[in-house]
Parts: sequence; structure tokens; C-alpha cells
Amino acid sequence: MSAPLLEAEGLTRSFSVGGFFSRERRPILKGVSFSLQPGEIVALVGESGSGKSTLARLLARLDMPDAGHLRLAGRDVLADDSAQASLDYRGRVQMVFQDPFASLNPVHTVAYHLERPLVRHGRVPKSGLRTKVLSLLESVGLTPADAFAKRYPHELSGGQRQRVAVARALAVEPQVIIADEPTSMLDVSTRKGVLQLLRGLTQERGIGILFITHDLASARHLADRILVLYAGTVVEAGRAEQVLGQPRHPYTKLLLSAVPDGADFLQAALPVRPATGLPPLVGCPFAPRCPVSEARCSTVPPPNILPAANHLVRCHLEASKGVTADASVSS
Amino acid sequence: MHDSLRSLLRHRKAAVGGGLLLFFLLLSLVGPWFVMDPKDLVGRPHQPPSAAHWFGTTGQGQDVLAQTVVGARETLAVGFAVGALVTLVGALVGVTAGYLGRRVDDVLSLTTNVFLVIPGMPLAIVLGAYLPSGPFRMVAVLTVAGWAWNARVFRAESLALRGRDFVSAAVVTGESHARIVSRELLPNMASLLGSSFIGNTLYAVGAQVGLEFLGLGDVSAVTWGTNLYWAGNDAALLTRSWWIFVPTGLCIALVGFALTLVSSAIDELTNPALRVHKPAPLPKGTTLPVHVDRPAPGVLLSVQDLCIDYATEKGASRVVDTVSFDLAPGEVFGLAGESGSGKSTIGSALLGLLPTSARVTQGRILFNGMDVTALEGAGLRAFRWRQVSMVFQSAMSALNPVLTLGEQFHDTLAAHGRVSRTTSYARARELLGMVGLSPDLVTAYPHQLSGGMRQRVGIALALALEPRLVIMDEPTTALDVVVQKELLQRMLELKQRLGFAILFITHDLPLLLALSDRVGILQGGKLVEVGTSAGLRAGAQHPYTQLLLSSFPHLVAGDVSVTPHPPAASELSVARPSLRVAAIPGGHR
Amino acid sequence: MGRYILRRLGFYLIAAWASLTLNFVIPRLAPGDPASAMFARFQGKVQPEAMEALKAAFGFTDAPLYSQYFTYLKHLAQGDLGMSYAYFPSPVTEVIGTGLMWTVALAGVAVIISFALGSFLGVLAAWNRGGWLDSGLSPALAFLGAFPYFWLAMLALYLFGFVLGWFPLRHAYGHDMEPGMTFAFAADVARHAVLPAASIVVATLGGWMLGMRNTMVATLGTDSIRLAHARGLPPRQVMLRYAARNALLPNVTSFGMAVGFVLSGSLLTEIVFSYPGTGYLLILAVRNQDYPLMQGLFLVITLAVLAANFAVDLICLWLDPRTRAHA
Repeated sequence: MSAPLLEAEGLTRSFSVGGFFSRERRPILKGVSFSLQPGEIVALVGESGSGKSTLARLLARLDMPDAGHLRLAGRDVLADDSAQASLDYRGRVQMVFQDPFASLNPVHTVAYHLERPLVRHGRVPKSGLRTKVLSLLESVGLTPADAFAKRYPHELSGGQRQRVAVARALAVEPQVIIADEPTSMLDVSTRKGVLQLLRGLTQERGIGILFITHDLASARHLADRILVLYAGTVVEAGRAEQVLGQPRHPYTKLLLSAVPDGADFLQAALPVRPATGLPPLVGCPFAPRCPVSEARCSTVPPPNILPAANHLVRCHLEASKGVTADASVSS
Repeated sequence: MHDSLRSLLRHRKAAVGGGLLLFFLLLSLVGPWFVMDPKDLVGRPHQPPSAAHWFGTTGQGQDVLAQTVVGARETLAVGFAVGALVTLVGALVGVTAGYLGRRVDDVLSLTTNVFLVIPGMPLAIVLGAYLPSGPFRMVAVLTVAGWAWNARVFRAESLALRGRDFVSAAVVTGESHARIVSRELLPNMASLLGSSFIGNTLYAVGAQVGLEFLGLGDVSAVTWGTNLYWAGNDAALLTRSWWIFVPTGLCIALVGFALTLVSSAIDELTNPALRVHKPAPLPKGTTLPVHVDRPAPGVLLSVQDLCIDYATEKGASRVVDTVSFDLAPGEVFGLAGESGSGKSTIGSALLGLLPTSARVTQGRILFNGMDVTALEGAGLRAFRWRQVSMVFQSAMSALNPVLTLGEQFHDTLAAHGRVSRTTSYARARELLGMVGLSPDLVTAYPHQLSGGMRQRVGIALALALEPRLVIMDEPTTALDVVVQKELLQRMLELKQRLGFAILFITHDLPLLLALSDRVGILQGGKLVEVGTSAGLRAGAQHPYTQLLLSSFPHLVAGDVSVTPHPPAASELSVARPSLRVAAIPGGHR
Repeated sequence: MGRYILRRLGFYLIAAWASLTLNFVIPRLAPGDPASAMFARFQGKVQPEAMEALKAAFGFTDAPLYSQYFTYLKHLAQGDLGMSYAYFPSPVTEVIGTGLMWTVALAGVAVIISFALGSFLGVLAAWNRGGWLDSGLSPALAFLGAFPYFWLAMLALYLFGFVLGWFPLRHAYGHDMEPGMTFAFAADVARHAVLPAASIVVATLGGWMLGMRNTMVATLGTDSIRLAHARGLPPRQVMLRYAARNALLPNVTSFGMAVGFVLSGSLLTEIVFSYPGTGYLLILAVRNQDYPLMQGLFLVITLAVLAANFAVDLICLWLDPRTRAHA
């Protein structure tokens, strides 16, 4: 198999807490590994505090990991921190932000937002700029394009702004798009359109998309594969229908039971123990809340288990059932 | 940009301030040619105003009018120069610190804060005493003593902008630091630059006059400050020659006042929260004296033909349009709608909590037969919370941050009857236990709780007076799904026990269908469909309901079709403006 | 909490050190040779031999800069700010001593009255937005605030002192008064303080009112106020306990920042009234080019402002439970 498009291995990031002289650090990401193939959508699912936004920022190179590797088409991108290498990476990996009300600069027109990446990366000659901007707008469904190009962000609705943001990401003809909760700030009736737009990109242009979300239902709707993130660790990963159809990890099961779907969703009890405070740093981070945890869960970190091909679970209780993988295997 | 200029001119404060400023600028430019030489001894000293000397003469016999007019020139020149310089230095230091962050910020912020607490006037005096006298001394001294405040303001502003996603987006695009600062940050600070320049000029004129009054200026020059210095030296007060110091003082104050007006006009134009709205008056609703119908059996709340208008600068805008629905005791009724559908406005109206710019223009809200829209003053306060209470979306910010939970429960109970603190606290402990929190949290402050815990406190507070109806306005939107479900299950359990009715407002239709007995769908202020949850799930009639239902992806049903098809026309039409208030460039935080 | 206080204390120590160092550096960086000029003014007052001793005492020697710096710090540590030229041969500390007391008392009382009254008016203006207080008094006070403090003082002195004769014209107490802890003396001091204090209050009131009004308007728009109304709380309680209490916090912080500014203004007011505070000394120092006195005043005033800021920090800590927790 050829090298994956984007591959992360053991990405780790912690932030210092406390004051100026404090050395205390809180881990946000604890060795996250995954890969992304061309034309594939991988959903990264997690609740607030799981570290999913931190991971997005690492992948967009808005932040540096403390440890771990990031490879783009087999080449280690963190090794070379020259300006040219950074520009090169940005020409191939783009990002769509969560809040379209914040990700467009209120003082610039739509056209300006689309021209900049084209100029910066020399994608079109100056004479072709205008045509390219209009065709980008058309490709995200904003027609008549010349009317939209002249507008300022505050003259657009949320869904329209998010389409502009997608068009901006597309301008450099990237191979990877990181979409950080692209629909969570939008009205429900416009969400589906944006998701369909993203799906279309993978099919038409072979772009790989990392779709970061807290919503399992839209992950199922869109993604080929799903990674479940809890307290900075990938606790379960696999094909979408596998993870959601036969969830193995107690946390995945908990998330699934909490999705408001179906008439009786409030009847079933939540499979969780009440616990407060931050996840523990030793053992399994989910242990205090886990309804089936055992003694070893709070002392020994759970191993990677592969219950089926391309399905990874990080839980002691699965150890007896599946094949233990060696730690370096990525999902 | 053009629009903002035009609205600046229409603004009354801006017009008066700008006019005054223009007058003084003209005076300082051409005035000196029309008056006598301010240094000539043209008459006897200490002469009151006369035909020869309109403003009288100084203690030395110079013409006061000439001194006042000529004094404007250097005073304003130094004022504007210092204003510009201080703004420049402050912006440079502040933006560098805020944009680069980390160690650079640590060092620059520390320096800024140190200069901020060192009092400016004594520092300026020590500096001025050692520098050679000359036209630039004043400028240098005032800039050194005054830059810090600006640096602080600009640091805060660029820190806030730095955190905005459009800066991250520019980084991802591959823009250079220089370009991000010059094209992304600075244009957003245009109004801040403007109001800072004005504010700094104000500072510069005042400080300059003060230093010159002390004798630290060039006492042989003619400026407003030295005019006052000589007034003091030549015993203007002792000789009761008020005309020597009054004209100059008035001029200083008028310039200062003009600058204040312009600066506050800029603030108000860029920060709408500070503006006093004078919207077009709304037609008064047909409010009758509170009248009590015999409540219809089985109806707790009856909303009848309710219309609510918001006053905007372009006239009245209808946000709730002839909405009618009933709610039975103990029922859970859901209101679903997207942003701008008017769902929260209806919730506010039920408690008489509409903002001053909104008004019920038609219809009634009958609670147990009593028209809520006609309630006022003490009657309204007694009705609130005892009959109908509310849980807000933002429990994070809805609790008072400086009071303990116990105090906030006590305030609530004490507002509806005489009650001792001991009794209130006991009741608060009981209520906190009821929503699954530790009763010991009565002594906690809101910031010590997590989002889910605060929302539980919000529910406990809503149940304090055992109301018959609880309005829940997106109470779980900011929460994670697991916390949301825990909260909703607890809430339904309490409803079973206490028997209150719920009006649940949210955009999340699947949630609402699982939760409610009946659901109403709002679109653009109109209630387009009302039905039982089961009925709507089985077959919604209205196309908008169908659109909403199909917009939510499901976990189990076989709808994995994501074939791209053209998006709904309504979303893409150019005509539709944003419903959210546009981000304000350079708004002050 | 302890850590927060220590951190703030550390900051003020750094600020104090920075002002000490500025005080050392400014005369030495100044173009020309102001130090020699300064000593030239002692010429004729002291013997040439004593001159060298005097220079050494001020730290102006031929020794390398760092050793001059340490001599300077050593003298400061001993409370030695050098000798005043104008009051030769009194040491600067002695000259400043009594003056500082009058300044702190006058400016302190005026600033506290102005802040309390201004904030209260701001609360009322925001609560009745667009009412007469908001649209009438507020601009009037803003106009008064645009006058230089000392000019208002001159006007007040002219009208109420010279023309109407209601208040004494100068100084902090009458010549015939024997300073002491007597009622008569206190009353006389108060009578003398009315005009200077009032002119400071009038000049600063508008600023506090506007600041409080604006934060109050923002606070009134929050959900916490909506919730308070929804609970049926009495309006006075909502206004004071829910809105004003929270709106006060940012204003207390800016109060700390403004102390130095107001103090600067009040120094000029003192001059108009010949009030025996540090402002009066300052003008003496400037007009006589008494550098040691000037620098001593700079240091003492700066340290007083730092102390006031620290006190404001402690008040914030007491007012806001969130700072208490983060500390």
C-alpha cells in the first residue's frame, strides 16, 4: 500500500497551567496517531475538552506538538521548519474553521479572501485572477458569482460565509482539508448543504478531509472512518459503520446512547458512573466514569486491541477478545 | 468606510465636536493675522475689557485677545503632534506585544505596566528639567510620560483580534507576519486608532498646559499654558483681573470638550451597546386593564394571536407574527425554530422580559385566564417566578458571579415573601439535592462550577417557588450530549414529581420530538405547524417541517445518501441578509 | 490568594526599582552637563572643599557608572535623597516630609469623594438611560472635566475666595491656628480644604460617571440581569446588588490607574491655593532648578502612587471572588 496522504504518529501536546513560575503542565493530546487517504473522509469525534481542536491546530500547523511525527505523502513535515517548507505545506493542507462569523475578516470583500491564497501561492497569473475567483465561488454554489465577490462578510448568511471559507481553502488546490466543526455554528437547514459540498470535494477532486465534530450522527452521515477521542487519547477507531454499529469501547457506547435520536432516547439510562474532576493521568482516562471498569483500569494504561481488521479499541476489557497490537500501529 | 463617515457626520455629538474643533483649527491657522502682536505692551496693565481691547489687558499691558488667539497655534500644534506620536508608539508597542505574544509580550507588558503606574506629571517634570529647552522638549517629554496607556489598549485589542479565526485563517493561507499585521489586524483597528488619537490629543493639551503653568515650558513663547503661567505670576487673582485667565481657560475647555465629543461619537458608532436608541415609535398595543377570563378547563397557558414588533432605525420589524397555541397543566410543549424565528422572543414575552425596543402589538398571553401582557410593576414582579420561571441557555453568565449560590436563592425567595436566611439556605440545600448536586454548594460561587453543574443550579433556582410553568430557552445547547441527556432525564423526573408544565425552546428538532408531548414549528415569526411528537414524526404536513426533519442526520435509519444535489434555493439567494449583527471592526472589548 | 498578593507585590517592587533607576539615569543621560550646572548653583553657598563632599554625597563622582549606581542605592536605602538647594542646607527628605502628608490627605479625600459620587451618578444614569441625568448632567460634567484642574481652582478661588469671601484664600490652616488635635484646628483645616477639594472633585466627577455608566450599560445587557428581573427581584436590588456590584469591578481597576493622573492634577491645584503639599514644593523646585528636591519629589510621589495601586489590588481581591480563586 502506498504511503497515506497525511499521517500523524504519536502527536503529543501539553499546556502549562498556573502562573509565570509554574512548571505544571496539563496534557491535552497524549500520543494521537491516525492516517488519511486521498478521497477519504475521517471523522474525529470528541466532546469538549477531548483535545480535538488542539489536534486540528497541530495539523494546520498553527501550533507545534511537543512530540510525535507528522508526514505528508511520506515526508516528515516537522523536520523542516523553513519558511518555504511551511508555505509548501500550506499549499497542500488547508483548514475550514468552525465559526464563519469569525473566520472571515470583516474589512475585506469575499473576492479579497479568495485572491490572497491564489496570489500567495502563485496558482494563477494576475490576468486570470478574477476568472478564477468567480469559478471558485461557482464551485461552492455561490451564484451569481460576480455579485457575491463584491460583498463583505456581514452581508452574507452563515451558510454562505462557510461556503466562502470552503472556497478559500479550495483556492490553493489542496490535497487535505481539515474541517473543524464546519457546521456547528450554522442553522440546521443549511448544514446539510455544507456537508454535501465537502463530500463532493472528495469524490470530484480526491481531497482527503479530516472532519472534526462532536456530533456522531453527522460523522456517520459523512465519514468513511471514525476516530473517537477521549481526554487526548484515541479510544476507538475504525470504519464508520463498524464503530457506530458494533461499538466496543464503553465511552463510544456512552456517546451513542446520548445522541438525541429516536422517540425513546430519553428512556434508556446512560451507561456512566457519576464522576467529577479531570481525567486521571495514570491508567485509563475513562476509568472513573466507566460503568464496567476494573481495578487494573485505574493503574495500567489499556493496550491497543484489534478486534477486527481496521478496528482499534483501547480498553482492558477487550483484551481477552481481540488481538493486541503493538503500540506503533496506527489506526 | 463611506457609510461610517456619513453616519459620523449625521451623529449629533460628532457634528458639534467636529465643528468646534474645526473652528479652533481655523482660528490657530489664520487668527494671528487679524490680532495685535501678543507680546507688545499695548496698554496699561490689568485693564478690563474695552472697545480697544475686547478681552482687556494682561498684568504687563499686553492684549489678552491677541494672546488667546496666538496661543492656540502652538498649543494645538504640540497637542496634535503628541497625540499622533503617542498613538504611534502605543500602537507599535501594543500590537507587537499582542501579536507576537510569549516572551516578547512578557517583557513589553511589564514595561508598559511599570510606566502606567509611574505618575506621568512628576516624571515629565524630572525629564523636562534636564532636557534643553526648545520646541521639541514638550513633545518628547509628554510622549515618554504618556505612551503606556495606549500600548495597553492596543495590546488588549490585538490580543483579542489575534485570537480571532480570521487571523488563523491568514496564517493557514501562508501570509507573512508583516502582511497579517498590516492587512488583517490594523484595518480592524481603524476606529481604535482614531479614537486613541483624539484621546491622546486631549491628554497632550491638558498635560502641556499643566507643565507650562508650572513654568516648565518656554515662558517667552505665547501658548495657552504660558498665558495662565503669567496670569498666576502677575497676580491676576489678587487684582481681581478675571479677564486675564478666563478666555484662555474657556478655550482649553472648549477644545477638550470637542475632542471628548468626537471620541465618544466614534466609540458609540463602533460599539452599538453604548448608543441610546431612539427608534421609530411603535404603535401602542391595545392594552386593556388586567382582566381575568375564566380559564378554559385543561388550559394553563393560552397564547392568542400574539404579534411582537421590534423598533429598528428603519421602522417596526415584526419578529412574532400572529402566533397562537395552548399549553395544558403538566404538559411539555416544544417550540422549534432556527435563528431569527422568534422563538426566544416568545419565551421572553411570557415573563414580560422583552427588551425596551420590542413591544406586543397584538394578541394576548393568558396565564390561568390572566393577561400577562397587561401586567406591570409589583403585579408583574409577583407573577414572575411564582407562576412562571425560566432556565436560560447561558447558565454560565446568567448567575451573578459575585454572590454565592445560597445568596441568590435567598434573594429569589425573599422577593416573594418574608423569609429568613436560615430558611432560604435550608430550602436551597434541598433544591440543590433535588437536581443531583451536593447541598454544600450553597456556599460556592458560580465560577467554581462546571457548565453542566451551573445549568442544574439554573433548574434548581427555577423550581424554588414551585411554579406551574417553567420556560426552558435552549438550556442544553452549550452542553455536551452526555451532560445534556443527564440533565434532561433529571428534569423529566422532577416534572413527574412536581407536576409543572414545560415550554421547551430549541433549534434541535430530534431532541424536542423525544422530549415533548406536542411541538410547534416556527419559521420567520410564524407558527407553521403544531402537532404531537408522534404525529410530526410519522408525517409532517408543512414543507418547512419536512425540511427541518430531513436536515438532521440519524444514527440508525438508512439515509446515508450524500449524493450532492443543488442546495436549497433560500440559502443561496443573494438578497437574504445576515440575521446576526455584523462583527464590528475595532469594537472595544 | 497569597500567591496573587505576592505576584502583585513583586510587580510593584519592579516598578519601584524601575522608577529609582529612571531617577538615576535621567540626569546622567541628559545632554549637556546638568549635573555640573546643578552644582554650580551651590557655588557661593558652600566652601569649594565641601563641594567635592557634596558631589560624592549625591553620587556624582568620577567612579564608573555601576559604582555610582550602588552609592545611589545605598543612600536611598538610608533614606537619604540628598540636599535641597532652595532650602539649603535641609535634606530633601525633611523638606518633603510634611508636604506629602497634606497632599495625600487632600488628593485622597477628593479622589474618594469623586469616585464614590461619580460611580453612583453613573449607576443612576445607566439605570434611567436617556433620562435627564444621562442626557443632561453627563455632558455638563464632561464639559467641566475638560477644564484644567488648576484653572477650575483659579476660578473657584476668584469667585468664592476673592469676590464672595466665603472661604480662606490660601494655605491649609490659618496663621493664628496652633496645629494640634483640637476641634477648632480640624474645622479650620476642613474650611481650607473645601475649595481645593471641590475643584478636584468637579474636574474628575464626569470621568467616573461616564466610566461607570458605560460598564453599567454593558452589565445591564447581560443575562444575569435578565434572570434577576425574571425572578421578580425588586428593581433597587437588581440595580445595586446585581448590576452595580458587577459593573464596579472594572472601574475599581481603572481607579488604580487614575490615581497617579489625579494626583498630578491635584499638585497643580495645590499651587493655586498655596497649599503646603508636595505640589507647592514642586513649583519651588522647578522655579529654582532645585534638582535634588525635584527628583526626591518624583520618587516619593511615585512610591505613594504604587502603594495606592497595591491597595486597590487588595480591594479588587476582596470584591471579586473570581480573582480570589484564580490567585
